Amino acid sequence: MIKFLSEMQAWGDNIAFRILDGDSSINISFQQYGEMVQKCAYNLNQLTDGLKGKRVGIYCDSSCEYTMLVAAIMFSRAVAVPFNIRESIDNILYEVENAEIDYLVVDNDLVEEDSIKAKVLLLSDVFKSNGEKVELKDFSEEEKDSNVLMIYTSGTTGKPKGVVLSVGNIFGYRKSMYDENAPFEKLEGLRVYTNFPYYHIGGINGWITHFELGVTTYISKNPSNVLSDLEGETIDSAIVTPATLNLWKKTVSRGRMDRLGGAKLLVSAGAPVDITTVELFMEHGISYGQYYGMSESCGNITSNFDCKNHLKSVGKADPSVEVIIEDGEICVKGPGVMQEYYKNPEETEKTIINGVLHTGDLGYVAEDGYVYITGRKKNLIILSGGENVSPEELENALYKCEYVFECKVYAEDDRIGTTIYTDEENSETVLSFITELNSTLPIYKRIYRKNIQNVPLEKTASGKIKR
Amino acid sequence: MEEIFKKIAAIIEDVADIPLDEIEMNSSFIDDLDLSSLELMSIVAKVEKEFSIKVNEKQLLSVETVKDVVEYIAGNK
Repeated sequence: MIKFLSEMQAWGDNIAFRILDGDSSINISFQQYGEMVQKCAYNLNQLTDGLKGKRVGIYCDSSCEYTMLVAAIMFSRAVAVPFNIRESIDNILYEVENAEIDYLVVDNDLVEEDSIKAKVLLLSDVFKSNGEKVELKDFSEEEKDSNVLMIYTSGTTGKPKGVVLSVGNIFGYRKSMYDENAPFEKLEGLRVYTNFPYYHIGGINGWITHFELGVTTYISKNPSNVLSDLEGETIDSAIVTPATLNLWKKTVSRGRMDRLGGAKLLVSAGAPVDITTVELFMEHGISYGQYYGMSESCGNITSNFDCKNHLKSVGKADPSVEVIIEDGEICVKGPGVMQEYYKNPEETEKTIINGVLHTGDLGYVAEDGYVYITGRKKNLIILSGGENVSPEELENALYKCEYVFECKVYAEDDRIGTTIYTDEENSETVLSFITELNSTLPIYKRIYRKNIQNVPLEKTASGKIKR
Repeated sequence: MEEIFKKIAAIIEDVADIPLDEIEMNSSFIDDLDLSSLELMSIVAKVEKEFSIKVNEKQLLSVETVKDVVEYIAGNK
């Protein structure tokens, strides 16, 4: 088992986090970080009837404290359940109930306390400094199968599913970050900017990997400042969402290389990247890399740092996993493969068959070991923000308009689109219904492309709407 | 209003690389300018800085057109 806490201690005064906030940017050393986790664990135990074995939800903005809280919960031998702050309130309430949360830590008043089926704790109380702390212990081999983390992911049936991860899934093997193709000699002290939120497996995985390797994590205090925070900073690499790469591509083509902090390597994950973006960065002397993984695999399935020669590949299998193709579907064996979907044996059985994780992505492995994705088996929209959206959830929302006779929701040029069958006189009503619906949806779930037709949608042989 | 519009159009051009002559007062952020959620959030962050105002999540969701932002700023200065 990786000795996460004692290894963190050993990095001492090295900088763990640099939090970018203009003139108020601050550094936190590994030593300070460790102490803050211990204080946080103390407070949590004071505010609750003891944390051990409890299920603690986190409904907060992503931040450095967020990771401390996750650590404090996990190493107090409780289960941490991060919730996506951008998810719709209905889904959050469903997830809190489904996850059987005992305590929910919040930093906002987005949901009314009365509607939450858990005891609510304020983030500010959890981090109140009173000097007291508790000693936390690393996990032992015997604890390998204990569950410590659960992350919700969009299901194809509309309801999110809780991905259950154990101590062994997270700390049972050494994580790798780059391979020999990356332009770095050593990783200790490497300065890496990232904007994967810590309620996302990409964020959690990055945080743990950076700590194992002694990398300094740069984050924005306000994630919307991704275009200005790196001006005047120097970083070595950035691991960001594909949407950020698209934004940076525009800024580079406008001659503003200074906004990238001198990064030599940009890496993304979570969704496929537009090839022209990669080519533009390469023309400007910046290497590009990519990770491919999912919550269910607890991290990387493949990574690619040789994009010059394998531009369209998601890369080679991570040293810890074995990639197998079954009936054209990419499948994974490895120590990160989740335990189950929480209280959902039916979906679990469909996804993990004989210990092999079925990703739902179609693809192949080339002779040189590089993996290529060719399509998706499951009906799920994956956008460049790294968020997964269930088409069915949006279709159900559209059907609330009585004039939507038939509809389907899909992705088109990295935007959500819909085709709707209605009659001619109600077409305008349907369009204004969508505008109204959009103003209530989280930004990443908004419907951009609207195709209204006055004839029924095309059906499959079994009478289902053809995707 | 015209002054505010010009500044906002410049921010949109800077963030989303959309030519100034394609940005109008009545442009919809989603339907006309096709801005991604991250672009929209970056634009709002820059608008907040430029005009020293705060836009909360709820207000951000109700913003549909450039005009909505211009009017919001004019009303909060």
